[in-house]
This record gives sequence, C-alpha cells and structure tokens, in this order.
Amino acid sequence: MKKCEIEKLVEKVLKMPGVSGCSVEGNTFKIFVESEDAGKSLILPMEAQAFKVEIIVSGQFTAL
Amino acid sequence: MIDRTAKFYTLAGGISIGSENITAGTLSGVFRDKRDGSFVLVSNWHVFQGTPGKTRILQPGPYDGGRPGDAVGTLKRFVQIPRTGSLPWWKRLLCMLFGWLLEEYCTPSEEPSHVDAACATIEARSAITGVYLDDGRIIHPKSASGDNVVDRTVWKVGRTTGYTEGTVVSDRARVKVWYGDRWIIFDDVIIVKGLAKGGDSGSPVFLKTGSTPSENDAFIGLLFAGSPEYFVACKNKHLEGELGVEWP
Repeated sequence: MKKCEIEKLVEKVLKMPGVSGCSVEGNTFKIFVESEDAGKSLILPMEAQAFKVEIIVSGQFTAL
Repeated sequence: MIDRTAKFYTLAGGISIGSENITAGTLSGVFRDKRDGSFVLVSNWHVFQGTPGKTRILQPGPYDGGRPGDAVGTLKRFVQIPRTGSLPWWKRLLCMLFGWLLEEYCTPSEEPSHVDAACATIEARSAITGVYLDDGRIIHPKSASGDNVVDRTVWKVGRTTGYTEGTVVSDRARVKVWYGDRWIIFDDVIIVKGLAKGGDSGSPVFLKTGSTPSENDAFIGLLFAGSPEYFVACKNKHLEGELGVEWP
C-alpha cells in the first residue's frame, strides 16, 4: 500500500468513535481504543485488510 | 526519595513547575536555545501556558505552593497547537460541556501537531542540564531522535509519579488528545505502556540502556498526555525542529 493510502487509512480510522490512536508498524496496523466495547464494535475499512490488525485497549488520552 | 513538588535551588528536569496560569506540571529540563545559544527551561505548552515576554514561570507550580516570589523565568515562546486556526467561541463552549461525547464534532480539522512544547528564560536560581533521579542525584543522559524505539524500555521522571518505566508500543502513532475543551490530533508521537498521572506533563522520557538509569541513556522526548495505563510523548527531533531547542 502506498504511503498516502496508509495516511488516509490512519486518518479515517482515527475519526471513528472510541478510537484513541493508530499506527502502522511494518505489516501491523495498531489501533488504540478507549474500551474493550469500542474495540469490539469497530467496523474497519476494507483497506485495513492489507494489514494484521492489533487492537490495544489504551483508554482515552488526555493532557496531563 | 526527593519531594519533586518542593522548591529547588538548582533547576533540572523532573521537578514541579508551571506558569502562573495553571496548576502544576513537570520541568523537562534545561535546554540550549538554538536561535540565540542561551539556556532555557522547557516543558509542555499547556504547562507554560501564557503570553510570551509576560507570563511568569513558577517553581514549584502554583498547585504546589508556587507564588509570584517563586518566579524563575518568563515564557519565551511556544509551538502553536493546533497548528492552524481554532474553534469559534460557541463551539468551544459546546465542546467544553459535551466534547467527550462529540469527539468528531469537537476535533478540529487542522494539520496534526507534533509537539506540545514551550520554553522560558532563566532569571533566578541556578540551572543545570540533566535530570533529577529519585535519590536526588542529577544525571546527564545523551539525546536521540525518538525514532526506532518500538519494544524498547524507557523511563521518565515526573512531578506526580516520580521515576517510572514503561515499554514503547508505537513510535509513529497518530493520536487524539482531550485538552478539556477540544480534541487535538498529534502525529508521529511515541506511545508507552507505563504509568503517568496529572502533573507529570513535561516529564522527560529516556531510552534505557542498562539495568539502572545512567548517562548512557538517551533523551527521546517529552511526555504530554496519557490514560490510566499508557502515556504519550512527543519526539525530541520535532522539539528541535519546531521549538528550536536542543538537549545539551
């Protein structure tokens, strides 16, 4: 997948409710979510199928 | 163990600090200003929040008892976040009340930010480069960009939780961070599984190379956000490029 396509995928997923962050590390697409429920209810775009998806329950990020 | 919320006569990274407008955060350290060669105090923008040339920086921060007589410097400059524009006042009010529910509506569509950082002049007490460990010693680790650190062990020292260690789970993440009245998107940041709490903002983060913290370790960035089990740091390379300061 091209770099600009990865950027668009990251941007699209970050806008989804319950998503706190995401990153592409090699062939893995890491998605940081606010809760387990948020992770279970995620409906990912087709483009994400190009990656191994890893859901990490990180909670919501706030300025400390 | 040192009390990081106390008044310190030698300023170095890891102790309470804050502008007169906020509660308290953590002093990242004494850096060299690449624009004029002087030494400056560095922390997050939301810790040094104020007007450049006017706002006083207090050590300890106001929440820890800092008063006008505890001023150690003046805000010099900061990196604007979000990078362009801001929400109109009525939208900010709505987001202040319901923003935690209206994530997408309250997330500005500006360019993602890379750092939450500011620097201040040094006008009182002595200031040295390096960072306070829990036993009161000050050590002077090296510096690194913050890239290529996934799965590595890092440590930080902060005003609230002191010395803690963690593991880097991402070194190129895009995240959204809640600032009390709006969401701000940051790109190319480091996410660490590790402990940090309110007041730890500004904590310097180091790459650990041995079994204990040492001068062989490397400064990689500034902690600025977190959740109960994770914290987020902006990279040293963006700090150098956008704020124009370097870890000496």
